[in-house]
Amino acid sequence: MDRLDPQAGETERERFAALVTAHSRAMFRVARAILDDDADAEDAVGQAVLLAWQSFHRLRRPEAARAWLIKIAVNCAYEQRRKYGRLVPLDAVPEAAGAAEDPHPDSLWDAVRALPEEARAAVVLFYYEDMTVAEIAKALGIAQGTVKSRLNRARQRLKTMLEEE
Amino acid sequence: MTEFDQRLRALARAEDSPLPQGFADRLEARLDDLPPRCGRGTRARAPLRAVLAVAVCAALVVSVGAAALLGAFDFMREQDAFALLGLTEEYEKFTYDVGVSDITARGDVFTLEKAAIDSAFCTVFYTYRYAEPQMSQAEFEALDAADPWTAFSAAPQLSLWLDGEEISLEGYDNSFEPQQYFSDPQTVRGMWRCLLTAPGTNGMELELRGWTWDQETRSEEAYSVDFPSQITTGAVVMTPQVTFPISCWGTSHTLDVTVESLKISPLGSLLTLRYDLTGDRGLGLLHSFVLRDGDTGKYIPFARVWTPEDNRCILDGQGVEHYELFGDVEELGRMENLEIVPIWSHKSISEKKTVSLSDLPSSDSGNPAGGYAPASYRVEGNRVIVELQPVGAVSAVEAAMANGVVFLDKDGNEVDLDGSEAKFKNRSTGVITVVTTVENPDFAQRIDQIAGFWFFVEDYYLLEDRAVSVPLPLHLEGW
Repeated sequence: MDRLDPQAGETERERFAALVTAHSRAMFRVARAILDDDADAEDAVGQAVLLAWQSFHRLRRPEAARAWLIKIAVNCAYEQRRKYGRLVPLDAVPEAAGAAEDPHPDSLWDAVRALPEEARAAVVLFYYEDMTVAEIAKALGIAQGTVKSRLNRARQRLKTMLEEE
Repeated sequence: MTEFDQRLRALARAEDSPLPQGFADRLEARLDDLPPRCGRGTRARAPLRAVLAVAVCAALVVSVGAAALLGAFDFMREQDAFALLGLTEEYEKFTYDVGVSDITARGDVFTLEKAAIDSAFCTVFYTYRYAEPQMSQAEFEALDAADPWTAFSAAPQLSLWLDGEEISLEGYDNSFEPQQYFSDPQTVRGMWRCLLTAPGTNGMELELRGWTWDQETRSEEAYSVDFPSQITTGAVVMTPQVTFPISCWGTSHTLDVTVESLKISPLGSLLTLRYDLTGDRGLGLLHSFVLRDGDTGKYIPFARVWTPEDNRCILDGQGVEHYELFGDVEELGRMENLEIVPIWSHKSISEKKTVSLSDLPSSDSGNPAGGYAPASYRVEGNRVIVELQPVGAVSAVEAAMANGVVFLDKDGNEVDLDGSEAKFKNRSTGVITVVTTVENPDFAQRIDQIAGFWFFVEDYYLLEDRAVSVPLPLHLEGW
């Protein structure tokens, strides 16, 4: 049964705030990979912070905080996404979609954002967060094989975008 | 992991990604205004929580195969030699039997079978027996049981507690190579290692807490076991408190670093450095030095231990970094002076060196100062195993790298193995073993293409005039 926790004192709040602050960039990045604009991604991070705080006592390993916060941010971003739109499976994206990509992105981040939606989260977790395929599968709730195929396809597109510069 | 992947990861680290203007302020405001929290209460407990003798648990598994009848330690010992991190003999000698279990709400049984504790490290060997099989027998037989990643999601998440305070500091980012393997469709055997935040002593009443995530019900299975500590080996603990300035590699930061402690034990040797970050939110030491025995001149392989303290300390304006030292423990114990030699990079990026399989073993790290050189290559089924050996002055960066080798065909083109990597550091020798498991059905064809590989060369030289000697007043003769 849920109940208010009078034991949640300043120390725990400070510890939580420190963890969130330390990992906020990663949370925003993965949310932004899933969502189409900064404001939605920031909303998702805000929601994730509240949810994480409510279940912070269940985080028994502080060192798992990063993966845990990222996982919550992913869930919140997908929830946000479900409210406003539908993910387009990578398989359904016509090859011609590549023509819409910026052929000369200014940065890796620009290139990542030009990828099809479904691949972005895996790409961000793999390249920016240094997560393994197994960890990404766990965070996104998909099979490792799916992660690999998304990464493989994204890799080809990134090569095209970044190496043609 | 291809060269392209390595390059993109480096690019991602270098350029990062933008945050919306005002994001940090809005986040801070939200954190300042967190609502009262609901739902802590009493941790959900199993309807039947009991401490059982190992024999009772063994009865639970009598119907499974021979592998499942082995204890976790014996099971681990039957894995590859590198799985026990070069500490097999030490664990045989210094682990003690525990044999306590807890049963979760749905009937899973967690058993802590053995533990090894010294003044700095704790290692536990456990078995997690699911109430229900996690896969069919056919799926289990098709599973790559030797790959620790196959049981990654099924592994217990553990922490160690004393008097209600957590005393475990887990090394993340593969600092301690936590391992877990399915020994049958229902059973995970594993090894977990952590640092202790308080010195280990005999007779502590410890509590090992764990939880396992259930993907289907999206809930945690929680459990805990109590057990007494037994310190079965001696350790040397020194607190030299020597302070020296060091320029952080690749940055304009200079830090005054204090050698806070050095602990040497058969179960692991640990160097702890501390520095002040007040007014300077630098990135820490960034692999800015190598270690050397000041008396013999022998370089000491070592690796950074990444812990939750890293973020906490940086936020507090204090940096603390832990490094695990590798090598013969008796040699380390006899050391009378530890030299810390700053290094500097010729260039800002790493280079790569190619080696063909016919040239192995090699002692050429690609850097005259030292580094890791490819010592061996072998194929076992769908696994490609490369050993990298320390040569000369070794920085900690190689051990921190995600993989380290990229396979090439006879024409020098990259071979896309599309596999998962695991990396193991031998605590007795410093040798790094990189295991690439290829899961595609055509793994044999892919592996057959391999004629060589390239590996990163860390391009540094030693700043001998800035070397610092840390006197170690205590040393041991034998253990």
